[in-house]
Amino acid sequence: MGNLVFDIAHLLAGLQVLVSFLLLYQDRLGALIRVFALQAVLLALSVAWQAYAQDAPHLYVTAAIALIFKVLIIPVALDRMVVRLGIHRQVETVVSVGPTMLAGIGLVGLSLVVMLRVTAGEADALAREDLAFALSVVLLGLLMMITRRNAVSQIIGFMSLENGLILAAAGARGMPLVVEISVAFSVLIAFIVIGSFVFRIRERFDTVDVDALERFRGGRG
Amino acid sequence: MPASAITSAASAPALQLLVAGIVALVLLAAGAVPLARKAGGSALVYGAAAAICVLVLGTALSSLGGAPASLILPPGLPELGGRLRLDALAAVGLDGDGLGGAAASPFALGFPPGCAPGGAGGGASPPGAMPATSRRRNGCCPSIPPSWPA
Amino acid sequence: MLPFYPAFLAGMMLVVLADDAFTFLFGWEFMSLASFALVVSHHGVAENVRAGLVYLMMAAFGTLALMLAFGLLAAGGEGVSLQALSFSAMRAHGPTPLAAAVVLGLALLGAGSKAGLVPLHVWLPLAHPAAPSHVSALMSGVMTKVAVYGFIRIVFDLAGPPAWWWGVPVLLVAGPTAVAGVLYALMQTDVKRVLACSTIENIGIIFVGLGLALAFEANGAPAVAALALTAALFHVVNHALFKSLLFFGAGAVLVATGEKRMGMLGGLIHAMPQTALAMLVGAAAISALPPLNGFVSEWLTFQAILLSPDLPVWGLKMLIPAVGALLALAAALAAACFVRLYGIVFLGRPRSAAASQAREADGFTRTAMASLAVLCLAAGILPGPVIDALQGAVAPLVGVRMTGQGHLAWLSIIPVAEGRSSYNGFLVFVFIALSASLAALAVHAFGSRAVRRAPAWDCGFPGDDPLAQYSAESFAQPLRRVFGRSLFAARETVTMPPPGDMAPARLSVSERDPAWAFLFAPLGRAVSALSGRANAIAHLNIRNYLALVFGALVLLLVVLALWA
Repeated sequence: MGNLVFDIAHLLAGLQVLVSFLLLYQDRLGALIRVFALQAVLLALSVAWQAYAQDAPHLYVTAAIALIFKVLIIPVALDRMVVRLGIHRQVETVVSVGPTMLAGIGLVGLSLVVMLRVTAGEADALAREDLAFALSVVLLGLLMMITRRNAVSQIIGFMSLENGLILAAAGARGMPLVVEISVAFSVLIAFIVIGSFVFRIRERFDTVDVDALERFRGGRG
Repeated sequence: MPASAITSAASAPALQLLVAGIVALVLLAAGAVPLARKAGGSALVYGAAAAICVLVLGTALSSLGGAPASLILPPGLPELGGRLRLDALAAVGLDGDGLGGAAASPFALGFPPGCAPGGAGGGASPPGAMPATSRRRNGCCPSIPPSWPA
Repeated sequence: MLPFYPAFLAGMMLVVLADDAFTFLFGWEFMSLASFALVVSHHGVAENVRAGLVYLMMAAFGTLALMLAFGLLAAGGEGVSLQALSFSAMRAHGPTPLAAAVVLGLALLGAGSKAGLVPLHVWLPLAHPAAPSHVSALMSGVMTKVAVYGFIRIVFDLAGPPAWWWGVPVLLVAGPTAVAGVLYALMQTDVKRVLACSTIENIGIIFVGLGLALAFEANGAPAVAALALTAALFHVVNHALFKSLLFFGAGAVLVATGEKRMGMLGGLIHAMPQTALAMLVGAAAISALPPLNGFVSEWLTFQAILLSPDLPVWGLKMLIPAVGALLALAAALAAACFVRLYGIVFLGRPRSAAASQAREADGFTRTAMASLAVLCLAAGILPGPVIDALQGAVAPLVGVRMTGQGHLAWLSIIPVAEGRSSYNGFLVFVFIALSASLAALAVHAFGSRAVRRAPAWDCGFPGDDPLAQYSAESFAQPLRRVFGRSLFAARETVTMPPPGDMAPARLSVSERDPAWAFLFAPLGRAVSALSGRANAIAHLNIRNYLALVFGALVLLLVVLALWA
């Protein structure tokens, strides 16, 4: 039984990393949002499985929050945002997909090396694997934020990064529910704030390409 | 030892007098803010500073050969307080402070307020070139007619 | 600026009374900031603002060095209690030899930058003259002494027994400081700047005394150490007296004429006889002429130097006489410097309208100057009681006190042994007074009392132009040619108009301070180059900032992966 619990948790976390890679090579905004929703589904499943495995009922609440916010509300809102902004549906990249994927592979390797080494002999195997995958998801989210021009895809990178944090929190036992709820809400608020900013940027500058902001800041970048 | 209490283990009256002098100078500095605009304000401040410096000088001179005294005042870091000590070396230093202050304050009384030292720097002013009329004049200094005999 | 004056005084007193590092540094900063405010009190003049900025930077640097020194001294204690910051705790557990050596270096940097040791002196000739004269007097006469006090407190009192070589860096800095200071003074043409530069020289003399005390104390000659430390402290008192006096005189001249350029002054002895007399006393005292006080302290320093052959260490046997030679050179140059200052400002004929119409200073000013002049004379004639009074401070620091001098017959002082050397200021005074009066009597008895006024120099100058007199620049020219070429890169350029042109010929002199050219200017360039580079970071876009965060994160993870 213990082996099966570990395997399923491993599978779900690994699937999240895989989906992070899927996020990296999407070239359509619509597809990007739906892949993000898929990752959120996997996150909810993963957290729910942790709740079952650790016999921690409060994690079910976390899973529910992830399901409601990240699978339903945020993707729908993003979809509507894209429609209302009327931006073209292509994801504009700074670094092309190939090198980004290679960098992503390197990051996953790095996070595995770091996590397995640092936590050696301290936590149980379940938590260690989970943490390694969670760190990978975080790093891939960050990578996505810096290799995309479009503000919407940066939001998705940020949300994906936050998925990784929740995964890590669920894997590490004893994380209080209050903290998770507050993290979830703060992410939602961050989403709202960023979203409204995107609208403002769009109103002002007629684009959501963040590089366009540079010209108005008088920067040299 | 508790920092909040004034421990006068070996605090001679001389040291307390000196502390009073420093406090008086600080209060004088605070009081000088409104006084600076009044007519006799600067005379009052310099006069008081001179009096305090004379007091400090006298106290320091009299404690040149005395035993060290120390005092812990409440203001300062926690656990530490503000520690003061008057030994012979400090007395020599205070002699210098008091002497300088006691001499400079009366001098400042005679020094007209707002007399700016001219902007002339230490650069070599070439001999042979003396613009007697185009020199900066300060408000405090006697005005000199430019018709000085060449 | 009025509120800062009492605050400045309070800060200086607090430093001296402090018995823990926090109070000390608090007072030190109080003093620095208040004096900074006084320096920039005439902030309309761009030069004063620059002086204030340079001063502020040097003050911050000095405080940093002192803070580190206190940190090292406090670190030896057990636990992390704040009580370790008290001086008594520092005394209780001396620092390790290595820490004590670093503390010595930091104290030289921290206190030395405030006192004006070369090459940390650059702020001093800028800031001291920029302040009003009474503040200049306090900064030069008293604040530098507070810095000396800080050095003595840290090195002699808190850092434990000195190692044999501690005197070496102090002497190596102090000797050149004395000579460079007076050379700077000789090159200046601004009265207050001359005085500020001469402060550097006197700080050098004081630190020579301190270095000697360290060297003798560490090498088993505490009695000579007591002599050297007494000499240093005596010079501290003396310099406070005559430098204040000279700055007051400069202030009086400035008020009377509105001028502090020497090339615009002259002949003031007629208009301001009392100021001139007081300034003469001050100038003689700072030139170390007997029977005034400056002579006594420098003489005591030389007595300690002359005992250096008794030292067991060869390096010190060689170094100390060399420093003595520097000191002798500095004393001679100081005399030249003050002959120049006094001669140009007070003697001769006025070089400007302002100088010709000067009035004597007011009563307060004259009283302040007269009392200081009397004190200079008193300390020179009666050095014995002063030396005895200083022993209370000397004895705890080097363990021995000098033999009592106050009770000796005819007010003599005998620092070492009767067969060796003694000095009697009173007899010198009586002799000088008697011979001078006799000479005056003789001159008046046998000479003609008639005064004949005639053109002094008429060769080539038909008019009676006061500018044909010796000037500050021309007086300094021989010395500038000897020392200035190599040390200050002094250049004289003569611009001669072509024949037929009515423009005046010009002789201009340019110098540069090697400390600026080789230490501070490269430092400034390096800082501005670095900040120019760093400035680029302020103009990135969001993604670049994120990339920076990301890069830092990945770098740290890689480090973790490699190390863990």
